Amino acid sequence: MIEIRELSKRFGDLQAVDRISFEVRPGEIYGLLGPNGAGKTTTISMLTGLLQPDEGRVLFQGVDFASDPLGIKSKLGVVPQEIALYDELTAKENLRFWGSLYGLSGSILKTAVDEALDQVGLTARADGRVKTFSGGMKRRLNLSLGLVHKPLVVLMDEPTVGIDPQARLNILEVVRNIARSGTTVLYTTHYMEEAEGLCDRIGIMDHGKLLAEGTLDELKKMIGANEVVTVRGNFSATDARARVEHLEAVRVIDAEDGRLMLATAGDGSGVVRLLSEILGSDLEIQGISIQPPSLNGLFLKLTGRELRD
Amino acid sequence: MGVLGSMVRKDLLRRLRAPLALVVLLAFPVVFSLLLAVSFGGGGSPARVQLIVENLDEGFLSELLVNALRDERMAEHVDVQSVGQEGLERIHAGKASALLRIPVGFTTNLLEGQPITLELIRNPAQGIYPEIAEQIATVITDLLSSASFVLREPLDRLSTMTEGDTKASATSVALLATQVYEVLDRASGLLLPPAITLETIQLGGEEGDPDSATGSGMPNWIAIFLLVLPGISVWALFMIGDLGMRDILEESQRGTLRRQICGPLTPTRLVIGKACATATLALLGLVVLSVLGGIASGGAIDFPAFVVLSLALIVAVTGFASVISGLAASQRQGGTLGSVLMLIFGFTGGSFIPLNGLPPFMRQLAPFSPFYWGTKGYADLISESAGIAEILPNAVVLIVLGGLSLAIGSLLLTRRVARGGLA
Repeated sequence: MIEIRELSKRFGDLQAVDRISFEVRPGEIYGLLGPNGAGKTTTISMLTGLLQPDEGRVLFQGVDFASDPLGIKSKLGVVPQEIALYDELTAKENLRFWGSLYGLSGSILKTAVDEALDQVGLTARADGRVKTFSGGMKRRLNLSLGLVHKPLVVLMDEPTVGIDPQARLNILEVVRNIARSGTTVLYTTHYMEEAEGLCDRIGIMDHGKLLAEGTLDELKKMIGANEVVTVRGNFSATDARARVEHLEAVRVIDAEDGRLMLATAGDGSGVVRLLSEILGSDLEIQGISIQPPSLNGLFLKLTGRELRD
Repeated sequence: MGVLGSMVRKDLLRRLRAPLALVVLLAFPVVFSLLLAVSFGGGGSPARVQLIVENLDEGFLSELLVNALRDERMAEHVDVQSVGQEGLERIHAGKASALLRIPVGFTTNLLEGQPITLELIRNPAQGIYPEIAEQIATVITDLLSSASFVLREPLDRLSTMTEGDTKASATSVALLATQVYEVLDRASGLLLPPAITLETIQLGGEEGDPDSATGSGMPNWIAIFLLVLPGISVWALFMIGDLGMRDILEESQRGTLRRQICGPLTPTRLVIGKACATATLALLGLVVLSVLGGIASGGAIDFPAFVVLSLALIVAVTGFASVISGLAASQRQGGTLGSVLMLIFGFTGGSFIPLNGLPPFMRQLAPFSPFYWGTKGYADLISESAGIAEILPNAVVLIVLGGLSLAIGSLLLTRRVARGGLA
């Protein structure tokens, strides 16, 4: 549905997006996961025509975006990270305006507005002014404005930022529903759990580069570990590293004074060996945590940093 | 309703739902004009100068002076009352503007050609009124002084006639009258027409009936209201235009502009949509102000000429506002730039001070302000009963200025939108 080829964008000295390529297939939810500043929003901005890429191409159903921007834009729905609503207008008036921008009118517009309100559960507040809405309601309306014209592809840029867990669950449910109806979704987030729970395929971005891409299972395999073990205590990084480096099926991911992160592989014997070695040493241990493989672990493996940092 | 219609509708709805700025801008010209009208038009006859006269002489020439001050033409402006020794107390009590003391021996000294000093005590608490009283007293005193020189010889004869108990003969009185006539006849070239006259000057340069500044039976305060209203209304309309067009910067800040650019709209169409909304907003403002002006003036203006001028003004308002928004990097910057430019153009264009009240060098600058062409056009419609032919030059200038600035402003904004500068 969407093909991104060697896309780059530079702002002065900052290479915001660095020759990224990926494909979003019809009907799937593709997640772009990365910390703030990874280049996700810049990528979305180039896909929506807000920014011109320095290099690379964007193809929509095989058509180059640059050759027919208005035609392609009319088939896209955009849900920006910020809440871009007219506070003075009602929910219905907002939807009517955005629907009319995409050429809807008359009874078609009316039906589309009603359906969009229903989709996000705001029918009861259709005639309420937006300025009286809660943050979660505004987020839901913000989402529905990108859906009112029934686009083939919806580009969502961190649509759950800054809302409470309940409102987030509502929005994620709406995203799943529109994907079920056949709409393709490109979804950016820095929440690992969202990407894991929502997306069919995930691309991991950092510093403008696409570091890894695949389904959740494919990505977890890339970690090459069954568990990620974090050891905390009163020790130096050098001492701790020296104790475990020689162990079979154990790999040091990161070591710093007071904190040691390791990946264990195999059938679980790596964990046993690691714990025996550490607990039997003179290192002053204060705590040990064992986590199953996750995107955070992969991100850590790829960048040396945690996604939450 | 097409896309442009939707954009205009959306912007008008937003403006009407949060109308404070619009209401303030529309109310300002009315309130400002009314304040000026009430301040200078008074809502009726202006207050009179309270001049009290303490006549210590009581000779016939001092009575003549008092009567001169009570001349009926002066009575509209000055209330002259004779008082005794309580005159000074009335000044202290704030009940009079000035006290004129005519000294003992005034008549005798005047007849004998001796120098005379009149005393005027001003009451500083009464603002400008004591100054007016002093000016009036000075004029009358100068007149009397001049007359005493010109009529020296007859006055000497009169002095002789009034001495002693002997009644003057009919022949001597006739001789004196003849002599006065001859002196006045010889001096007529100098005295007539009178060297000093008191002229009532109304704001706007009209003369005549003091209760009718325009000579059309219109009360003073309404005349002043209509004199000030066009200029300040033109200023307000430009401010409304600025408010409307600057909304594109506000939308940029809110993120709604970015969202629109993501839709199937060209930057040009976006800017045109905002310009249409701005023009509609200015039109609404114009209608409101025109209705008020029409009510005050009795609707006695050339309607087609008014419509032509108004449409031209709306083009100018929209164009001017689009240049400001095109130049400003942010809404705050746009607000500052707009306010400063509006003030400069307002002052040079006669929005705050009537054009004929501006100093000559500013009058030469005035045509460079778009405000001038609007202000003068409306002023001519109201006070000169101008028609289309008379206001056509104003309309043409406004359309040309507006068209040019609209093109420049739209180009600036479109380029910025296209380059992501407002996104």
